Amino acid sequence: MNSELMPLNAVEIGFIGLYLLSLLLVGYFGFRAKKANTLQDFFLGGQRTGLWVLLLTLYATQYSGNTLFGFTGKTYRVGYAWTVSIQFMMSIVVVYLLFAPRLYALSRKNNFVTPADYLEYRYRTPLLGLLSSIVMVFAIGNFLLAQMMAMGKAVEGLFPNGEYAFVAGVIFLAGIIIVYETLGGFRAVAWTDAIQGSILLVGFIALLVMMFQQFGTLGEATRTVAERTPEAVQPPSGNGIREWMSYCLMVGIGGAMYPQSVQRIYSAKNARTLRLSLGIMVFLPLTTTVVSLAAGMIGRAYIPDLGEQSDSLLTVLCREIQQHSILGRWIVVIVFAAILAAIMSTADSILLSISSMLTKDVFATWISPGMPEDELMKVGKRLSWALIGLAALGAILLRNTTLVTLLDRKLDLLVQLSPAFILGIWWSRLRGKAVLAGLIVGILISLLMVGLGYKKFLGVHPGLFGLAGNLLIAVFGSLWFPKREMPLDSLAHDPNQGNEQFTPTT
Amino acid sequence: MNRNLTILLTYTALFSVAVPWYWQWLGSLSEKLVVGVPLWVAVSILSALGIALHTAWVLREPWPGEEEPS
Repeated sequence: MNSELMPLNAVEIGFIGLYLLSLLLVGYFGFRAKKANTLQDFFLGGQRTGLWVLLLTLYATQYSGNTLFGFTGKTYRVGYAWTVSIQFMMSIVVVYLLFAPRLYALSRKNNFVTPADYLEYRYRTPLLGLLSSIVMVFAIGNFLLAQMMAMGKAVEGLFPNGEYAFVAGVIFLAGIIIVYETLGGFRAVAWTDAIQGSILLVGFIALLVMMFQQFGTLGEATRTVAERTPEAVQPPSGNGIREWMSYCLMVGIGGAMYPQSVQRIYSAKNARTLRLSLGIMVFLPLTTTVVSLAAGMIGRAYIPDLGEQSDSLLTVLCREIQQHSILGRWIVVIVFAAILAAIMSTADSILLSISSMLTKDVFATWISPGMPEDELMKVGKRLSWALIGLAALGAILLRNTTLVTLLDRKLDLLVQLSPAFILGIWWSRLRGKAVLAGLIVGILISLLMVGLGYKKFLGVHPGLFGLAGNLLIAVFGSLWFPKREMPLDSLAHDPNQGNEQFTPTT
Repeated sequence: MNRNLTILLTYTALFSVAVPWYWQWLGSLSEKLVVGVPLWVAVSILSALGIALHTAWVLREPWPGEEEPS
């Protein structure tokens, strides 16, 4: 089975080129819109992000290349059991309800820039902030490397005969990202995300329409799959049900802990903007993830011999669509732009987030305290260039290898931060040292289980076993410490703001 | 009933229907096709729509301190 696209013609490549150039133009507008030479302005866009930009940047950041390639491939392999993907993507927004209202209010009051700023404010335990930042940088750093490799592979798919297409693709697309990000910081990233999010939505809908036209209805595909492999259309049971619930918890909690997403909570223009963005975002899995599910089942029915190449299913489907009409060719151009959009919008957000954490939580706190903000800004931009250079180099060197197991374990690590963020924002007695001890134990349990070869144990992800240990230590550790006045009891009742300031909303 | 408790109970009910744990006792009913997908998938997706609608309903209420200067 040919898993490469038919070569695009000059006009089609020109369209993709125009789209990429528009990103640079947006970067320039982001530069022009700069209000101040501060970390908050560069890394959070001065906390002025409006409803639609916030919605689309949240959307484009959450849905990476993995959503397009990984989810269709997974449905191809496991069948309708991957319906869980709709629910776990929604669970992220449900988990936001648990802490976003309070975190947003605190971020406005205290001018947070990074997730660790909240931890420092809440717990006054510097090591907790440092370890949390390291965990986040490590978890999403691997993800950045994966996006770089995906960029190279996308361009390689476009020029299958080009000897250096992979290397050129990585360097060219990484170059575009770093230029618009250096120019406009968060504004450029969020505005380009808005363009990329829109293309992603259009691309998904176009793909769905063309698939049904090219291959037939979903009902026919389901019947074909049911005759050939009935287990692919049957409901899961036993281990499958535990795995379903484990996915909802893991992705729901871990996905809400992505530092770039936490920073988008900080960046909202006001609470209403954030509230409405989340209220719309919760419906988006019903468009994107459902399309991946349908594409996976159609592929399983009509292209049954992919085997190990199941993650290339989307490309195979596109090639089939591309071969049959001019409209099909153009739909594939849009889908290709959507693929680039999904990869680049995730990569730019990760890059900016890592750069902000290294600048503020590591450099400004531990290496050079007291450095003026304009100097820190320069450090942040240089770090971004160094990071993207390293990630591009890593992608080029590792292009023919399967990514390390830890790449898939990012959520097992990120989920360990949830007691600090979610429990800590509600329970004023939670103590920093207990949270730190819980975090260390949670990480060790998760990594130990992964090291022993347990991708899941009884259908449950290692990260959730780690989280159980983590929570026990954080809660009982906090209860074991003598009860005393918390330095941050204002978290629950701010005498200056009135008790209703942090009244629970959910 | 307390608003937070109502919200929590509604989520519990919706996720209980969305997770397809009970179909093993309903025999071949689960495989009946509805709009091109097996019934259990249709119920799971409809429950997900319910979760989205409920979340949007929860989010329609202003958050405390929302009247802050923007």
